[in-house]
Amino acid sequence: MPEARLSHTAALILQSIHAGQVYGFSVMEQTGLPSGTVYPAMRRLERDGLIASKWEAQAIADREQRPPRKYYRLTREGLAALESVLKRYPLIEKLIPTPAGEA
Amino acid sequence: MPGHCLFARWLLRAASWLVPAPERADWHAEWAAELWQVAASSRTTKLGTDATANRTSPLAFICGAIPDALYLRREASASSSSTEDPVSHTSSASPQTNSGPRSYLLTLASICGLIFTLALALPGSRHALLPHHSADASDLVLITSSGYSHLDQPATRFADYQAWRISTQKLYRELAFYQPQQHRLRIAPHDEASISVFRASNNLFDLLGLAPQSTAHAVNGQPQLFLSRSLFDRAKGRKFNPGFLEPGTSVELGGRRVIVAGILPDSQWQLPGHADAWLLEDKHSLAETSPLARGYVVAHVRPEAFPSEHRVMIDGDHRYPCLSLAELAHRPGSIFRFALLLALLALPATLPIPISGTAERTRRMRIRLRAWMYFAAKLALIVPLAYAASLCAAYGFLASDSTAAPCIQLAVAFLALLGLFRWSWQDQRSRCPECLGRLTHPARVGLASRSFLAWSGTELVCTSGHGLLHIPELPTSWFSRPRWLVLDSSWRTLFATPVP
Repeated sequence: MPEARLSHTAALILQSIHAGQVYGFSVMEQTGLPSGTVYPAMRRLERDGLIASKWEAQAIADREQRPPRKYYRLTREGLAALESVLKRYPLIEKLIPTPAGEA
Repeated sequence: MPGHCLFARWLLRAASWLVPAPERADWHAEWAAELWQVAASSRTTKLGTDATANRTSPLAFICGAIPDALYLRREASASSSSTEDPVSHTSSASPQTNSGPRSYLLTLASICGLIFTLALALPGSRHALLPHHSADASDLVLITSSGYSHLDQPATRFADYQAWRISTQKLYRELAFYQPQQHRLRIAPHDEASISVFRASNNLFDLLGLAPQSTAHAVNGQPQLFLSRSLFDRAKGRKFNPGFLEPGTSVELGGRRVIVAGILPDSQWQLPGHADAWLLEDKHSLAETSPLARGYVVAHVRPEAFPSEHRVMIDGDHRYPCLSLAELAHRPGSIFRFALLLALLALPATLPIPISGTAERTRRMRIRLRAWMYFAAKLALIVPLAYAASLCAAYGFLASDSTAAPCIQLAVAFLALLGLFRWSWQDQRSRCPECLGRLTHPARVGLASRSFLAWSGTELVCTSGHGLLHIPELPTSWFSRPRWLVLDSSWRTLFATPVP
């Protein structure tokens, strides 16, 4: 798959998901981007195969007495794209540090 | 639950309608779950001690749902238009298959709006479209010598007017006279213009219920000059001395000094003749008019004097039809209604496809109702479009009292209505009765010589797979009308996605 030219916003979102913010709202809170930017961007990233979404188990939602949420994770292609885009935008890693085990 | 959260949920539900149906439930569930988190986070932040914590309000959060929904909608339409179905890829790329009824109605509505805008922009057609209504218009009449013909020519002698003022008091409460004249008027210190002036009795405006603006008090007995709005604006637009014709100023007209007494809006004058100004004179000044001078006479009838709506005054050997001002103002509407009737009568004779319709149609009432509503919507747009177009053609560039204007309006209205009715009927017949998509891919079937126990004609297909339309080339006793052949759902796999 050819290397995707990712925007700064997409790179921020990928790094945020990689850093463990798996829900859309938590990505919003960490990146400071509005919901009207984050969610369409995540749809595009999912369309391009860089992230994948999944519904969490109903049991988890029932235990916490809330509706089940959709969570996102990086795919292998997404990880590769993130590594190359961090070379282009090195400040992103300073803004959203990569978790220690993943560095 | 707080009010803003309820409103956010309502907004989310409304935004979900933008999402394509297959993804709607999933999309709504995701956003609803996130909204719950936002609301919970917002409540926690309010209760917490950290005043600097950044909290997102549910309303602000849910506003992002709309661009997200629109994005999904765009993606869905882009992917459906670029889908390469090996069986029907040409159909999905063909513009005709996606010619849904909505795009036609939208186009028709846009054209209707444009024509109406043009009709309102042209002064003559605006005048005809929006006639000025006075309170007693039904009791105000124009006394003519020959009815509607030659309205643009003043035909009533001043001597007759003087005589009627005395002899017809049982028929009319009041009479007024006006005579078209041409004068030169100085509209600026170094600029003169030739203008048309209606010299009239001083009760004309009161009789007609006209309300001039910016009135100035005139000396008793002095003639009062009322300017039309367009003349006043023309004079006001002069670079030097823009207030040359302001109400209250004295100007020279026809060798006399007159006072500019006010301005009359252009829309208020509904009688025959176009005037740039009106000169109202009292009885004594008007009496100097030559007895043979010709003008127009307006009267306020006594309702009990004329038993029927058709009013005719008989004076000696002469008949004088009295035309109601209300009818004059609505004459374009009457002409259009007549043209509509003619077009409806002529329509069956001009249609190539029988009005009686196809032999077999869908039996589901909801589908048939939808098709009829589409047809009614087209007619509802065609009628005002034709009306506005006929007014533009007839009165846009001609005076409303011109003899040619009604004929032009009748001809344009008739042709426009006939043509548009034919188009709408043929458009209806060329659409699938199920989905209202255009029938396409015409194919010749059969041989012309084989009309016994076989048929020859044209076959049209609904690309959504609802059916086939068979149109016989030669009507026979057993196959004379177009026939709709319904295809059941087993055929759907061969066709493109349904027309929205």
